[in-house]
Amino acid sequence: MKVIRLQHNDKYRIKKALKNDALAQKALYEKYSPKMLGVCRQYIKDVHFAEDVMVEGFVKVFKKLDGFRFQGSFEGWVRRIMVNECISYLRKKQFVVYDETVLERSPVQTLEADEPWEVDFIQQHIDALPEGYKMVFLLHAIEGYRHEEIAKMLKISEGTSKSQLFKARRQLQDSLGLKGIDASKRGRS
Amino acid sequence: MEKFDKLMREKLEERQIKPSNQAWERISEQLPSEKKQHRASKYILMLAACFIGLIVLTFAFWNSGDPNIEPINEVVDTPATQIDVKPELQEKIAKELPLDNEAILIESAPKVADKRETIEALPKEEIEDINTLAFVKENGELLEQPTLDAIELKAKEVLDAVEKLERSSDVAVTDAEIDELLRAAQREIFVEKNIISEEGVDAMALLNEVEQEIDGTFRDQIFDALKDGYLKLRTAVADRNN
Repeated sequence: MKVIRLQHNDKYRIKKALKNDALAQKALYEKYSPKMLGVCRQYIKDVHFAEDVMVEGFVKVFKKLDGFRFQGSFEGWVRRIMVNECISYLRKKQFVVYDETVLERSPVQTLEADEPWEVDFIQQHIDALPEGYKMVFLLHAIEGYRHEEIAKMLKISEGTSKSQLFKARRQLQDSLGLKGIDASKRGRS
Repeated sequence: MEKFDKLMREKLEERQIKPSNQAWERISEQLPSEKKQHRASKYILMLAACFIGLIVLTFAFWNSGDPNIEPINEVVDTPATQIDVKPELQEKIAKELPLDNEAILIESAPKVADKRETIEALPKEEIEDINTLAFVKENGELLEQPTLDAIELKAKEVLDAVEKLERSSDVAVTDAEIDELLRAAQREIFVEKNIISEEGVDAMALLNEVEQEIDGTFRDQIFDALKDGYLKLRTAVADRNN
């Protein structure tokens, strides 16, 4: 019983994957790839492009596996690599614009859905955000990065990060019809 | 933590999208496989082994020494030793071995050979005395005299027999007689070595003998010793007759 449990343990698989064991690598991929593709999809609208980024991310994960120190969760470590890959991809494709005037002028899309709290519906509203808003919102609200960290990652000022988060929240709440939620706390973050 | 952010996080974290079937293939193509790594490490090991072998061979080659280098003659001062020798023998030694007591030229192999030749030219009784002398230490103590091996003894016996024949009859000894003596000596050596017994030929002894012959030493020793002795004796007889 113990042996079976050990073999299905992430630590055991990671150690095997470190020795380039293809089966262990595939087992880790199969366990985490659906979640990671979900993460990549949050940042990249096209699921095919999101998969390309996820593939590159997993290649990095296995090549830099010796950098994982078994201190935090493996999922968290893989997730950070995926987020960084998404940021690099969007930056390369020059999708991200932090120009306030451009962002203010971008049209707000109106979306209709049968189930307002379906994940796909929320994702559609996030996709409708300007790239700059979306990046800051996802990094702060979903991934839990601080403004200081976001500023470093996106090479922007902390002030820009804060203002873009504020605007992203407002736009999302407006589009999702959730103006009542935390309206009083909007200014903080 | 704001409620809105928490709500968004909960919803989005649930999201899972199954990747396409080709995704893993694309990843595995870019990863180094275990087999490739093993092969690479094997090649590295083989290269390292070849390199070490090359170094060892080079080292052995340079340290093998140049065979053309001449032996270095060393002059050694040795104090003169007092040896009790018969007065008449001392005179003869002085004639035959004109060695300087103060400085002796040490030249390992050639020196021994010269001494033997000189000693063998002397009569038998004197040779025995000189043999004894040769193993006297500087402080006067006698060293253990090395025993001659069977082949050398046989050679001596043959020489003695030839000498007796010549003394007993004034006629010169023929080659056939000498050959007969040599064959008898060879047979005796074989009997001593247990190759030929009364019952016949000992198979094991013969096998051992054949194995030893592979080295090419035993037979060479027999014939070299007999041949040398015979040639020296014939020369000595010829000189005396002249």
